[in-house]
Amino acid sequence: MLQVEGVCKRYGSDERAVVALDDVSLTVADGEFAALVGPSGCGKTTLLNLIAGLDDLDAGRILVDGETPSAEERLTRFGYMPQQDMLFPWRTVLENVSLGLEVQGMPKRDARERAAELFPQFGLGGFEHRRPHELSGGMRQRASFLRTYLLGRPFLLLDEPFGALDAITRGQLQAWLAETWNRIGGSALLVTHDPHEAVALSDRVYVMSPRPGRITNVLEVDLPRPRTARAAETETAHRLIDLLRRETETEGVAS
Amino acid sequence: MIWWVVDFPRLRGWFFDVVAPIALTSFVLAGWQIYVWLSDIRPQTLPGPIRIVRESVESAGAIWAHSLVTMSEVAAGFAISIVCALALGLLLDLSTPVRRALYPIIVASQTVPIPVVAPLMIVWFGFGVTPKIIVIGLFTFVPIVLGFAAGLAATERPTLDLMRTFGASRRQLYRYVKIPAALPDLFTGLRIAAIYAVLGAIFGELAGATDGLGIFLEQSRLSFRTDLVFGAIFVVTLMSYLLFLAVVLVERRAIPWRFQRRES
Repeated sequence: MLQVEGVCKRYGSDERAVVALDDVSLTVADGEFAALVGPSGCGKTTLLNLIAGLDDLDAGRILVDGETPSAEERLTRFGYMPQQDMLFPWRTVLENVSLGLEVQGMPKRDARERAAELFPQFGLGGFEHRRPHELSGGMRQRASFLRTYLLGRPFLLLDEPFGALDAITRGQLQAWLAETWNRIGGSALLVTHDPHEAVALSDRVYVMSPRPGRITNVLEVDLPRPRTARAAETETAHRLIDLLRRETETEGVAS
Repeated sequence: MIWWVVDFPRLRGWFFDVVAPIALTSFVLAGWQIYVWLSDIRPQTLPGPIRIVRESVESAGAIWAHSLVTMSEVAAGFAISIVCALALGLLLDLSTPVRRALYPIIVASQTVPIPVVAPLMIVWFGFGVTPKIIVIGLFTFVPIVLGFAAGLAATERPTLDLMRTFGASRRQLYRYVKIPAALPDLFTGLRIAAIYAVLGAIFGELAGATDGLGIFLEQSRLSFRTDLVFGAIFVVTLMSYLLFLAVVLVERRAIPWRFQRRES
């Protein structure tokens, strides 16, 4: 279980300091998929980085399973998937995907074997020995997700994983992730600016407003699990998406 | 009748890569030779290409012997320069205080008027190979260090963040990301350095040596053998060119992904 309590983050120290996050609290229970929605620049990525231990908080605390690990300790508690795929051109797709395991000390051969087993499931079969630039944007993102998933950490932090893709590929990947999630399970916090993506994938949506970043609303997504690719097409889903759209838009105008 | 050349892109590429430079060079050489014939200029002042080739072939044995000396100096000097530059580039990236302290000195070292300092090297280190290696180092070291250090520094924050969440140590960060990412910039520096390496050896020899192309050049000049001066200059150019080519070949092997990406 992840609990964020009263977290504040400022950039700069003088009177011109920017308050990125102001008293932000949220909870993600075990096995829950939560989303953090807000316009760009509202501090949602900042919050994700704080949880991941990539940056230090100015106030508040972050609890993981009831404990308060330091930022350094949190670094290896979560499976972190960055916005850009960050597949390295000097490694093949397989070598990229198994890099996390290798860094953690698993022998190269074992790491690659483990990774290769999951390639078909992630729609990457046959591309093991290609270079990243030979893959489509959607495939690169799936490879990046597989790299994060392989770390075996039960809690995933996803930072706008489909943000850089075109609308069609993005819809396909959302459906793919919804179905994959049914299989792999675990807990997740997804950062996105897309209400449709948030509703399609998550059980609970936190809405965030910018400058200073604050949580302004929490919505329960009452859609059945396991989710199908068409889960976001139902009427309940549409109502939620419309609601979210209005909230993030008005916040955007107010800023 | 070159329509077929224009029609096939591959042939056209080959034409412009190989035929065009050769044609231009031949044109210039022919003009030069004709000028020498027509003007009756003294060969001590300006020998024609035909005379240069004839006399150089005559002295091929001597030129070859001196070239071997210069080549071994270049090999030793360039190798040592690369090793030192790699170590220093790494050090610059690892430590901010070291970078602040050393960076101005490294840049300053490139502004030293080497021909003036080279004779001092002879006083300090004698007539052996050491002063030549140092002069080659002064010529080649800076572009390699700056290229490598810039490449290492180019890895961006999000990439570093990803590696941190893997739990990567500093050593792993360099091994898996920073060093491979720095290779393209390193090779840019190496290519520039390769162009200057032979020149460095020549300057080192001119300051004081018994053998080497620099000595051959100087002796030919002092005995008014301008034809042999040109011949030696050609060999120096050829040597630099081959070294440059060697670096490019190694580069293609070391960072194949860079060329693959460009071609695809």
